[in-house]
Amino acid sequence: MAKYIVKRIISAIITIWFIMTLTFILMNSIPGDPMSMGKALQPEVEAAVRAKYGLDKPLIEQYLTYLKNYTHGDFGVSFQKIGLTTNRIIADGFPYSLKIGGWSSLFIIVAGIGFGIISALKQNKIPDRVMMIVSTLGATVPSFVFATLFLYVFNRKLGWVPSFGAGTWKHYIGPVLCIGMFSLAYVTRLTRTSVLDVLQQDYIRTARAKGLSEGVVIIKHALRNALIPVVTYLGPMIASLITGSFVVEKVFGIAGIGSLFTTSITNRDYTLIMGITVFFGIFIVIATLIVDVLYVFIDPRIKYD
Amino acid sequence: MSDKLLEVKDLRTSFFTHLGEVKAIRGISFDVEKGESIGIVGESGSGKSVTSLSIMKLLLYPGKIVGGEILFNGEDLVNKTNKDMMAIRGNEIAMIFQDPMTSLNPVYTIGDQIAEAIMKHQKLSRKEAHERALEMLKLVNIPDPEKRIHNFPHEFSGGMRQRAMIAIALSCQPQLLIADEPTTALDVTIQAQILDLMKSLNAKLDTSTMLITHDLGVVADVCSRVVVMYGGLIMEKGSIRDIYYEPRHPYTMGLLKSIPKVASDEKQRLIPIPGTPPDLLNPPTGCPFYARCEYAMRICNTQQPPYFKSEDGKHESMCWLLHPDAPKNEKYELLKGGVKIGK
Repeated sequence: MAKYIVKRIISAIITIWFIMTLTFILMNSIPGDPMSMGKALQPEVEAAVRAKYGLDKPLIEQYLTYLKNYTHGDFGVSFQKIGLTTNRIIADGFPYSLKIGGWSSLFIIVAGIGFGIISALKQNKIPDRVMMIVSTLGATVPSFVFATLFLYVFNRKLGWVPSFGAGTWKHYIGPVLCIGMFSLAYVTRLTRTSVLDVLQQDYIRTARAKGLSEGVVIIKHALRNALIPVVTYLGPMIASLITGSFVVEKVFGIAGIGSLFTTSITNRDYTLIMGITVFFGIFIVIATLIVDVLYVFIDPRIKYD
Repeated sequence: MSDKLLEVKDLRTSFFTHLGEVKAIRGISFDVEKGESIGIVGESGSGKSVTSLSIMKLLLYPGKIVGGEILFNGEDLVNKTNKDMMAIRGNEIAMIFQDPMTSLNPVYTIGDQIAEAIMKHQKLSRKEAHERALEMLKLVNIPDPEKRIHNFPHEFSGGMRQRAMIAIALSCQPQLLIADEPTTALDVTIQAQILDLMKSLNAKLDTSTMLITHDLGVVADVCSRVVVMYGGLIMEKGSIRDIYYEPRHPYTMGLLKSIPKVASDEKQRLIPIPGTPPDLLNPPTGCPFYARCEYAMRICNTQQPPYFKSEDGKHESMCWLLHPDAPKNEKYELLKGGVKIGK
C-alpha cells in the first residue's frame, strides 16, 4: 500500500508538470500578453516592465524559471495586482471557495445518496417520479439561472437571505445550493441506477433466501456494493466544487478562487494563471488519490501491490 | 400425511407485465416426502425456477402467487407474511442457486456470509457463529478452512463457491433444500463432486432435496422421483424407473432422446425436440406440447388432458394418448416400453 501511494505521488508530480507545460504553451499562444491591457505604454516603460517581470527573456527560459520557482513553492508575483504574490492571492480567495465547496459536497453526499436510495426503492412510484423530474431540472438548468431565481425569490420577495458578500452563514446558502445543483442531480441519478442494478444481483436473492430482513438486505448487502461507482464520481466532484465556480461567485458577489481564475485569464496575468492551474491540479490529483485509496476499504477485490 | 414435508397443491403463479398476465405456473401439484430427493426437470421457461421461488416466496415484482396451496409441514406458506417467511427462509427451507460466481456478495468474507444466517436463525454470538461456519466449511470439504474462512468470494474458484453456497444453505440444518440448477454453471468434473457432496450431506443431515435442473443425467444420479414440467404444467411425474424406463408422455420421451450418451459405440445423432415452448402470455387451451408433439391428435389442441395414472397410482402422465379410446400409435407404444438410451 505504501509503495502504491509513493508510486501515485510520483505519477502525480509528472501529471502536474504536464499540466504546467500545457498551460504555459496555451497561455503564451493566445493573442495578447500582460502588456496589451488598457492604454498603450511608452516603449521605454514597456521594455522596463517586461524586463522587471522577465517577459523579455526567451520563452524557454521563462518556462524553466517557472519550473524552478515552483519546486520551492514560489508561485511568483501577480502581473496585474501590483505588489501581491500569487500565493497571497490564492490564500485570500481559497477559504471562501473551500467553505462553499465543502458544505456543498457534504450536502450532495448526504442528500444525493439519500434521494437516490429512496428513488430506487420507490422505483416508478410517485417519490421516484418527482425526484427524477427534479433531478433532470437540476442537471439541465444552468447555475446562473438557478442563482438568479434563488436571489429573486429568497432575497427580493421573501428577504430571507442577503444578496451579496460572505459575512454570515446565510450568505452561503445560495452559493452552496447553486454550485451543487448539477452534482446533486447527478449523484441522485447515479445512486438510483446503481442501487437498482445491485438489487437485481444474485447475491441479493441469496441474502433474502437466508431469511434476512429487507432492511439488512438493503443496508448491508446492497448499499456497500451500490456506492462503489458513486465514490468514483465523488472524488473529482469534491475537487471541482472546492475549486470554486466563476458564475456562482460572481452572482453572489464572493471573492472566491473561481472568479479569480477566470479574471486572471482575461487579464493575461501569467503568474496567476499558472499558480491557480497548478493549485487546482494538485487538488484534483489528491482527491483522486484519496478515492483510489478508499476503494481498498470499500471493495476487497481491489488490491494495490 | 405425516411423512409429507412439502405438498404443493394446484399452485398458480403469474407475472403481471404491462403486456398482460404471463401465466408461468398454471396449476401444479406435487409433494416431497421427508428425507426424499425429488427432481424437477424441464427446459428453459417451463416454470421450474418460478416453482422454487414461489415456495420460498421470493418472487419479485410483478410476480405473484395467484392460487393454490404450498403446505410445508402442514402449514400453508401462501398466506404467510413476509415476516413469518423470514423465519423459515434459510432456516427450514434453504436454497442454492445456479451461478455460484454471482450468488455470493463480493464485499464480505465467506465466513461472514455463512455466519450471517447462523446468527440470524440460531441466535448464536458472532464468535460461535464463526466457529459453526468453520465446521460447515470442513463439512463441504474446503481445503485449509481456517485460512479460507477469511477469504472473499473472488478468491474462491467456481466449485469452491458452490461449496460455500451449500455451506450457507445447510448451516441451519434445513428440512428442505431447494437446489436451482446447482451444477449448470460448473465444469463436468466439479459437477460430480458437488452432486456427491449434496447427496452425502443430505443423508447425513436428513434434509429433503428439491433439485431443479434441465439435466436428466443429474436427476438420475441424485433423485428418487422426478417431476417433468413443460409450459407451466406438470407433464409427467413418477419414480426414476417410471420416467427413465417407462416414459408415457411424448415430451419426456423427447427429453430422453436428446441426452448424449457416451457409452454407445454407434455414431448416433441426438434427436432434438423441434419447435419452441408455448407463449405463456396466451397459453394454449389444450396440451401445451401440442404444437411440438409428433403424435398430436385433434383433442390435444382443444382440451387439456387429465392425468392418467399407472396401476399403482404413482406414475402420472398428462397425455390423451393414454386414454382408453385413443388410437394406438405403433411408434409411441414402442417408446412407451422405454426409450433405449442412446438410440
